[in-house]
Amino acid sequence: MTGSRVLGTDNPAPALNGERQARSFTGTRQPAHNSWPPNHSMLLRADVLERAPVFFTLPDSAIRKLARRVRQVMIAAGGAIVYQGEPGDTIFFIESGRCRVIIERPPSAVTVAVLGRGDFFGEAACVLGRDQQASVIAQTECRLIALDRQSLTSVVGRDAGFLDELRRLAHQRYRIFADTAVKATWGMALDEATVVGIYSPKGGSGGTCLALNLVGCLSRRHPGQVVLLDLDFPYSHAALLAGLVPTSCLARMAGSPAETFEESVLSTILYHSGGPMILPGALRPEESDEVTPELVTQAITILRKTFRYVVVDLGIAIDDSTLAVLDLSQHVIVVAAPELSAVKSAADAVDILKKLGTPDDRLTVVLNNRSAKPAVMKAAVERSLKRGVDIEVGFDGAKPDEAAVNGTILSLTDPRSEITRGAQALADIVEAKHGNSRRRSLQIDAPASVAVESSC
Amino acid sequence: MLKRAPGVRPLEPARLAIRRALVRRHLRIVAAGKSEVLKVELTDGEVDSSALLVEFAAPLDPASEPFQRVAHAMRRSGVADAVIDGLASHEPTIRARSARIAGAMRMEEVVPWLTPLLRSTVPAVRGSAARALGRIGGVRCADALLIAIQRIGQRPSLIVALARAAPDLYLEAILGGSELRAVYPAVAMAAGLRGRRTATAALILQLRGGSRRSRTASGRALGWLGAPAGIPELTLALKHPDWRDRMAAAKALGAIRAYRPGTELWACLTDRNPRVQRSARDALRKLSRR
Repeated sequence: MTGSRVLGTDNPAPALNGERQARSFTGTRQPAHNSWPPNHSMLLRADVLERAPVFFTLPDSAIRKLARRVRQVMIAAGGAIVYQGEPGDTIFFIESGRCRVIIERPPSAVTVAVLGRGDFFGEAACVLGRDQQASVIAQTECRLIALDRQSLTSVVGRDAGFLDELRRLAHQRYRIFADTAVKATWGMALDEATVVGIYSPKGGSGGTCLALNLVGCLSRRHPGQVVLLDLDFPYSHAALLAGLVPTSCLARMAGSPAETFEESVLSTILYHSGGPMILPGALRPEESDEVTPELVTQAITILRKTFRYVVVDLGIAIDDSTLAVLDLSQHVIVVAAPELSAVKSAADAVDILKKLGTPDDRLTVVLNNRSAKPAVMKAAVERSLKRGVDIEVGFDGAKPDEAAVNGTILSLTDPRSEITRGAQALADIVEAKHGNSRRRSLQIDAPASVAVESSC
Repeated sequence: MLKRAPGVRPLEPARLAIRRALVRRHLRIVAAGKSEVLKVELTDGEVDSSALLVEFAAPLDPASEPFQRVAHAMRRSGVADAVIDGLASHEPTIRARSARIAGAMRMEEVVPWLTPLLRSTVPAVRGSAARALGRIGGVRCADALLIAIQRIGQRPSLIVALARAAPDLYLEAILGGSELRAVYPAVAMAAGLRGRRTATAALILQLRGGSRRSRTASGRALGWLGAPAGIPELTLALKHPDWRDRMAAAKALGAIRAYRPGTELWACLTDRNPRVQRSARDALRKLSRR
């Protein structure tokens, strides 16, 4: 059952006067000679421990001792491993499988990390004595290595340097998770608009088209409360695709005095007859240089107070303005086309977004089929991205091009269009994550199908 | 009266109080790091310095510096060795004292010597050993307690100690596995006492398909956890043919805040078993107060 050594023939208990003699264990317990884990299991455990940050600094002897004392635990997919707010005394190392780290901040629950093989969690509760900061749920079937506080203290209790380093790491991770959770929910706390960034790492993937149609879908649900900020530089054509003629843009607001800035921005917004509103970023390519991160932040701050959803169409470059928008976004949508270079770029973009601290459940990947026979299939795209594609938009023939020529938005005019379906699915996701969550609390309760078993 | 007078020693309580104060002062000095020598006399029945050491260590965090200084001084002064020797002493009092010190100072190395004391014929020794294992905690202690439960039965002191000693997911793993079925009721109760929501699913499984004792214990444990996820199964258990299941379910539902009394619980007021009736009445009273 565990990797600990129990009393038996090899390890007899002392003969005590007045007490009954200890007998070796039989029956359902393992016999003494089997109570130590087999060598290959020891090696596997040591390998998992060595792969973890901080632990790899331990000498081999300490790693072996720890490997002898840890337990192996199997958790079924969907099973809860720890719950936020409860005390804990064990560090869990992931030997295989994936776990989601979720912080509940009513009225929302934020996935702050997805941990995989070699990662560990529970260290803050174990070494800092704090309550669990987050709930950890097994996303797939997981094999974990559990190291309890007593075993850790017994083996490395006198290594003050290691324990200090572990405490420092625990503090650091605690802060990062807390910051991520705050960042993902601060807009809700202030009851301001949700900022949705649409990023397409390769031109021609249909990012602008999807952004426009998403705004169309959301506008039907919340008329007059959705705006599209077009920052797809250097050639911003969202207004043109919607059949609107812009006369001013955000770039021209750069010189506006602070007292009239808000009025200028709001008066620049174009109104589409179907409901969506569009704020162009720049009318001419050379004007795009005028759009600084400060200007973008100022504009989004104003738009958030006025609207319910601010959808930002981002360019392909990850420059300072893009990073400023990503910092302000509560949801990021990555649009990829089923082409080799587009998929590779999308995989890189997803990695970058994760490194920037975008929570996993605030990131949506859309696969936009721009041809009838895609060169790369969905499964291959998912393998490359190392995550699932949330929405696949089917090939829509010549409809997007015709809509652009006619200046119409498909999600407002053609409900059977594939683009409309994709945009509606996107709107559903955004609404589910940010619309309904304002009203209802997401409680993580004990899932019914938890299967926990432990082996030596 | 004349004969008894010399034996009364009226200043004795004051003398003992002074000696105890000196021991406490000595412990404070060691904890502050001003001395590395710790003197604890296990055989001193009057002052009982072991009790003073236990009392001093109880509020300290085992990871804190004062605690570590005392533990270091114990090893350095040979008190740790004396405690290990004391666990094998002829005197039950010494064995009990040694066990208490071992528990208070989290001496994990004495677990193999504490384990046989769980089967002692002296209740004080047995209780001290169980509490010590509970305080030390970790897999080894939990294993030892589990084996003791398997051998000598489900004593409350062992179950409480198991609840304290078990690390995260230890009890859940036992309940989810197929070995050690005999200890399921005790483990279920320990899981309830421990109060971790991770045990909910395993307890529900036991409530659904465990033995009679397991079902009863799991029902009560779900109540102690206050787990709303257990309400449907507990409501079903109110109609179980066995009155003990019905009684446990009624008690558990009374302890779950999220439960709104349904017809099943009201129906238990007219149950053919008076103990079920009483449990249902108590549960409804508790729920109506909220």
